[in-house]
Amino acid sequence: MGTFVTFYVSCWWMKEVMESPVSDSELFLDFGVFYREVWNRVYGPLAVTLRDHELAAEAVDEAMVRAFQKWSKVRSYDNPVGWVYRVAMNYARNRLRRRWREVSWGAVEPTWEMATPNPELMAAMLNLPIHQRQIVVLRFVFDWSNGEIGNALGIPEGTVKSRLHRALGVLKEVVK
Amino acid sequence: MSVEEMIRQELEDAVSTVPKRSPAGIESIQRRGGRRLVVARTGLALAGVAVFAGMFGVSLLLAPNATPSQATQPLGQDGGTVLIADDRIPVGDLVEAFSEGPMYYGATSPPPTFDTSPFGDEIPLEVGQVKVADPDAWDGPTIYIGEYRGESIFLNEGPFGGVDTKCLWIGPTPQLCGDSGTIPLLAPPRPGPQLGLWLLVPDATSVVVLKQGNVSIGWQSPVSGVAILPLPGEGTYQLVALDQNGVEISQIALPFWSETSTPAPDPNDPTTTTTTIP
Repeated sequence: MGTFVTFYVSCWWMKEVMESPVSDSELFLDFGVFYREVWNRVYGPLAVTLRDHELAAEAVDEAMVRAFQKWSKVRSYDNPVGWVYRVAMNYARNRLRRRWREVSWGAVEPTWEMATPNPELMAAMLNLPIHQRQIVVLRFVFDWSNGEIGNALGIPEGTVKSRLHRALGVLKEVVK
Repeated sequence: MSVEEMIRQELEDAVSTVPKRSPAGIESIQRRGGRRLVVARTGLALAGVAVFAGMFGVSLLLAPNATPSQATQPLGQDGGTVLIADDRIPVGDLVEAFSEGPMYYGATSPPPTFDTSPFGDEIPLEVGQVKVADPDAWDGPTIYIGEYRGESIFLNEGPFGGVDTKCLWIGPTPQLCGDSGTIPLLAPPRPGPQLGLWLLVPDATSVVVLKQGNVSIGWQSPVSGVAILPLPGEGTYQLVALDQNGVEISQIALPFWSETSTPAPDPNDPTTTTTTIP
């Protein structure tokens, strides 16, 4: 039995080592198309969510590297863009944790001049809790449904719904 | 125009203001990804060699089986843990499940088996009536740490500047948010004495002793890894974590000086220099 298991593991290892997606030119081309289409699509909204465009660019690059490494798997997902967004968001959160060892409570200004027609509404959006802000961005920029947002962020659809409801409540107060 | 349309328009405008950036380039991504794949596959190859070697009876010195450091534990039960800003924090029983997340009692520390009287009076974090101002404003799990001067203290995950961090609440507003673990903290000014905080004390901590020099001022059993100790005045304090047997596990310094006062240079501190300006 032990020998059989060892043999099986060895075969799996051989398969893993030999089956390199790097050598698959079709996957290369496929990933290249995805990369060109998706990079900017994720970068802008992520910058708004994070209020930091430099970090957003770094995070999207990192997410793309990881997508490339697992491309044969990621391309088969229902929403590969959502996967990239989620990985980029997680990367950014970890980077920010390292950067801010201690903070006091308050708002942080975006890292660029964000002149919009309704500054009060934008300020309210930027001051939403990150949980709510990212859902607002995904809903209104990406036009995703609650289910799609839940899948992308790995949270239940009901949670998406309640957070969106709460965020819209705050924003409606500002618009009144 | 509906509110939803206004939000959509505003966000589209905001995205259009984001400075244009050129992606790193497909070649760069492929190069970086490829390099990591080589590293990963080398690791796999080494694992394969180890398996083959084992099959042919070669003895290898292997590290003992590691215990998963973050084993999932049942929530809401004594001994369970919750994840707050990437740290697993022990909790007690469920207080209540609010719409956006459950609230748990904090987990008590192992009781000391040694005489604590040399360390001064106990400054306990007592469990009382939980007073929640607006639980719906919170996302995710919250830990009720205890009471201080009639106000409930909570620890949860809060958003700050686009990142989720640990937030300590004293009363209805968050007092401190950050990723501080072993960093000593001072709560913002509030009525009463200045508070010295230690979040995430070491796991085996039974008591945290507040000291100034060699003088012990008081001690506390942390709750869910949180110690909150009132400071009697300005000075440099030490927070010392002791295990159940009174053995020191860790120690951090906690300087507290108001902005108008300057700490006297420590003559024993080799990094301290004094310059006289003529």
